[in-house]
Parts: sequence; structure tokens; C-alpha cells
Amino acid sequence: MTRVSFSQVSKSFGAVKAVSDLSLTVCSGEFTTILGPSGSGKTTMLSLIAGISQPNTGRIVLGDRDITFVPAAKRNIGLVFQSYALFPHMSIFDNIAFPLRVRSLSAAEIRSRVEDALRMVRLSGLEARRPHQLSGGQQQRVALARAVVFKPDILLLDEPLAALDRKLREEVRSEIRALQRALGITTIMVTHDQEEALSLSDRVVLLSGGRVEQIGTPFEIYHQPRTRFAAGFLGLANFIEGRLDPAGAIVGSEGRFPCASAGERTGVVCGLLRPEDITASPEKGFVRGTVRDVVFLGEIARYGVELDTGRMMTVHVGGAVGRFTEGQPVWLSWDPERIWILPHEGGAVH
Amino acid sequence: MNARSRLSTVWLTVVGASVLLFLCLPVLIVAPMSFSSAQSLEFPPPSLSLRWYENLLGNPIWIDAGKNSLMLATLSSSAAIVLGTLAAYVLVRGNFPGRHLLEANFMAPMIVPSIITAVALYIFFARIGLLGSFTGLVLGHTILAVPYVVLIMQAAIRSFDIRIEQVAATLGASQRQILTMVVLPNLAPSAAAAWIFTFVMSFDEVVVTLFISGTTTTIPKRMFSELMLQVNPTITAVATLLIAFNLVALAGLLLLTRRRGFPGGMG
Ligand SMILES: Nc1ncnc2c1ncn2[C@@H]1O[C@H](COP(=O)(O)OP(=O)(O)O)[C@@H](O)[C@H]1O
Ligand SMILES: [Mg+2]
Repeated sequence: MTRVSFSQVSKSFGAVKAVSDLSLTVCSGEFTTILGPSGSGKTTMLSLIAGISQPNTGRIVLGDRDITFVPAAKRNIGLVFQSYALFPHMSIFDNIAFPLRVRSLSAAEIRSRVEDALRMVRLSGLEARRPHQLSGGQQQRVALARAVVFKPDILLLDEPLAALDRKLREEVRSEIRALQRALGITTIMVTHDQEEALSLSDRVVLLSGGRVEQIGTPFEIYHQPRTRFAAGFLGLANFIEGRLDPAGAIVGSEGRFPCASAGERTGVVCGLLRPEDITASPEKGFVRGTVRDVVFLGEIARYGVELDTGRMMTVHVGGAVGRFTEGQPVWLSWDPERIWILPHEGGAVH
Repeated sequence: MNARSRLSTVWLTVVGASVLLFLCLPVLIVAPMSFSSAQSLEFPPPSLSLRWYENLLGNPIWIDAGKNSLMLATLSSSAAIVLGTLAAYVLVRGNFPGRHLLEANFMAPMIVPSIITAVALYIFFARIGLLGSFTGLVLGHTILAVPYVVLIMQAAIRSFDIRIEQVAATLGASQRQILTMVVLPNLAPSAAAAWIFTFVMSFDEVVVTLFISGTTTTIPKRMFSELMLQVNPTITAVATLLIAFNLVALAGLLLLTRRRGFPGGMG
């Protein structure tokens, strides 16, 4: 009932096309993340849904209601900004009570709903404080409580974790997820953080330059990206270009890289091989190279390996398994199934 | 620090101190003179007394002028706050053609020499029959005060995060509820500062008042006409009281704008 769909929505600011010809549907009850680099139009999309701005062309439908030009106050949508945007002159209680007061609910009803909301975000006892007397994480939770207390049809979150430090971020992240599950509310979150997107969402909408690059589950976006941009934006990628050899390999000037069959594709292709799918070993493997660069990252170590053909490969090795030093020769190998042929890249002569 | 820059620091201090002294000179001379026992304006005073203050407070003409000035300043600055704040909100948050023209129009009384405004008001009020009335005087002072209110309140509204207003809208608040429940409470400190500022301005205003006030007397107008007739040290007592009043107002302004925790504050 509360799915949101965009059809051919465009929004420009002067000469800048913030969102261009966007069509997508966000399903009811799902947690959808809009992921994209800074300036890709994420905030613009949210403000179009929330009714803070109106599109130049196209339609936005919420459930079975066309809300394209419905004023923000009549949309029943909860919104949380990155900057929290709490009312500085009101107590925490009054902040959360605000949407109920403008709906003219009874004092008793307001009290019980605000208390429920405070309990839900674990802030009971702080209702008399002012926003500036709370920590960043607490302010964020107040903003969240205020956005859900009036039972909105959808919840919109604009980079809700960006202003928090790393440890707090993980805490609030799981709280948001738990809250969304408990309320079963359709949620759209904007972020430029790929880890956040992958860990929280049922579906990810990857945005680039105001256009949808790809829509899919976190697994699909990460392991089966459609474009080089999608592959490169989520995690590190080794791109392998060359002609597809029917015997099961991509062959090019950079070497011969065994891969499984690539469906319909023939000719020149671009394959994706994630650093964690590569095994480095002194024993003979698929391609040979020399370790040029070692970065220790705690859980894993990242190696820059220069192949004999001169091409650099990024390799992740977990734990203490097979430690290598700079200048050491290594063999790289992988499960040929792990090379993903990008369906929308290649074909041209490189 | 080398000798050269030390020299320039000394220079800067000397020049700064001299300018400050020059600016304070009238105060340093007028205040002691008001406590003089002499019959004429004399500096330094031969001996101290409060006779000129007694003279001032015992004179119904001065008391009347004081009442008029207070009433005039209160009414005109209050009217200017209401009009100027609403105008500033529309100018900052509005998005309509001719906005800049409208803004220039609100600022005009600050830029146009007050003698021009005075003449214009004189002719206009004469036409509509308000010349010499107290209402006309309040209107005139309001017009002079509005640009300063618009200026101060525009700065305050600009520094108030627009996203707070946008969130209020998504929470279901009407435009009017956003203004009264969210925006205005946060602008209160700035509005109070603007009110004090325009109150003091109205209290000191003389040019427009001379033209349009008719028989109504205000303190500055009375001072002016007193000086034309005879030089009487009562003037120095009035001046000293005005200076003290301005200092108190200034302190009030500083206190208001220093306040923390309000995004609408000027400080
Ligand atoms: N109010 C505005 N006025 C002018 N340009 C804007 C405005 N809002 C956004 N833009 C432009 O639109 C593009 C998308 O912005 P935004 O939606 O904020 O991106 P994101 O949230 O993904 O960082 C950017 O190029 C930005 O400069
Ligand atoms: Mg943004």
C-alpha cells in the first residue's frame, strides 16, 4: 500500500540537472538505500518525496495517491536530516510532541505516544532536556522518534549516520534497522557510504549524476554490477579487459585470465574480479607477479601485485594466511566462477 | 618582533587612543558640566550641584517632552518590529520575481538622506491631513526604523537553518504554524535587540520630527529649540541622561546578542 514510485521525474536547479528522467519503485515495507557519490542527486530525490521541492517534470506516486504537487504538510512522511534539524527552543518532549500537537491530538494521547517513542529510542528520562544538551547520537535518536511518532506512511533518512563517529555509527545503524523492522515502515535512506548501504538495505538504488545506475539487492549490486561505475563504487575492483576465449578465459595484452562461461557475450568484454576472491600463493597459479605494495588493515592485508605483463592487481588476504613482503614473487589464482562479466561494458575496441 | 613592527604597534595604539578620546570628549565635558552650580555653561564647573537636574524634573515642558518621546519610541519601534520581521521573512525565504526590488524599497529610508524623507513626509502628511498629528509622527518614525529591523532580522533568519522549517512542514505544520511555533520563538532575541536599537534611534531622531511634529514636543526637539532661545545648562543634564540611557540600551543589546543556544542570535 505504501510503495513509492517515480515516473520520469526530473528536477533542475538552473543549468544543473540534479535528477534526470528518474523512474523507480520502492516496495512497501522494504528498507531501500539510495547510494551515490556526493552531488548525485540523493538529497534532491528525498526532498521531492517529502514535498520540500517539486519536480520540473514527471510524477511521484505514494501508494495510490499522486503526491507530485501535494504540500509537504499533507503527505504524512517522516523525514530525518543529517543535521537532525531539531527545534532548538523546545524540550525533547516538545520536539517529539510537535507533529502530534499540529494534528490537534488530546494531551493524554500526546503524552502516551511521546513516552512510547522515547522508550523505543531508549531516551526515557531525558524529555525535559534541550537538544543542545544531548550528544550527537542522542539528538539523532530524537529526530528519529519525532519522524515516526505520527505513524507516517514512509520514513526518509538523509545520511543519518554521517555526522556520528565510527563506533556510534554502528550502534545507531543497528537501532535504525531494528526500528524499521519493528514498525514495518517503508524506509528510504540516503547515503554515500557503501558499507552502510550493503549492511542495512533490502534493496540498493545506485545513483550517479542524477540517473539510476542500478537497482538490486546488496548482493546483486556488489557481485553482479552492471557497469564499471557500479563495480568501482562498491568496494575495490580489478577490471579485466580482453577478448572472450570460448575455452573459458579473458585474453588480452595483460595476460590470460581463466573465467567461467559468460552467457551470451562474445568478443571484447570487461570482467570484474574482487580482491578478496583472489588467492596469493608461492605455488603455481594462473598468473605470476611481484608484490609491490603491502597495506595492513587489521582483519585483512591488501597487496598491490604487479603482474609480469606490467598490470597491477589488488589482492586481499585474510588474517595471517600467507604473509608476503615487498619484492617477493607470487602466483595469483581464483575460482573462474568469480569473474563477473559486466553486461553493460566492453564490446568496444580498447 | 622587530623594531619596525614594534614602532607600528606603538603608532596604532597612539592613533587608536586619540580617536577614542576625541569621540568621548563631548561626554567627558558635558557630563561634568551638568553637575555644575554655575549659571552659564562653564568648564570645568566651579562647584558641584544638582540644580540643573532639579530644574529639569521640575519643568512640565520637559516632562511632557519626555513622555512624548517614550510613547513615540515605544509605538514606532514596536510597529517597525512587526512589519520589518514579516518583510525580512518574505525577503529571505520567499522566491518571487521583484524580490530584490522590494528589498531595495525596504532599505531606501536608510540610504535616502533623512531631510529628503522629512520633506516627502511633510508634503504627503499635509495632503492626507496627518501633518502635526501624533499618528503621523509615529508613522514617520516607523518608516525610518523599518530598514534597520529588516537588516537585523534578515541576518537572523538567514542564520536559522532552513531545514528546521522544512522538517516542521513534513511533520504536518502549516506555514502559519511554522512561523509562530518554530521561526518566531527562535528569532525573539534578535527581535528584542532590533527593538532596543530602533527605540534608541527614534528617541534621538530630530530632523523628520522637526518637519512633521507640529506642536508635539519630543526631547531632542525641545533641546534644539531651547538652544535657539537661550543657552541654559539644563540641556547638559538632559544630554547626560540621554547618554546614560543609551549606555543602558547598548548594554541590553550586548546581553541579548551574546546569548548562546539560539541560532537566531546575532552573536
Ligand atoms: N537548492 C539548490 N540550488 C542549486 N543547486 C542545487 C540545489 N540543491 C542541489 N543542487 C545541485 O544538484 C545536484 C545534486 O545535489 P544533491 O541532491 O544535494 O546531491 P547529494 O545529496 O547526492 O549530494 C548538485 O550538483 C547540487 O549542486
Ligand atoms: Mg545530500
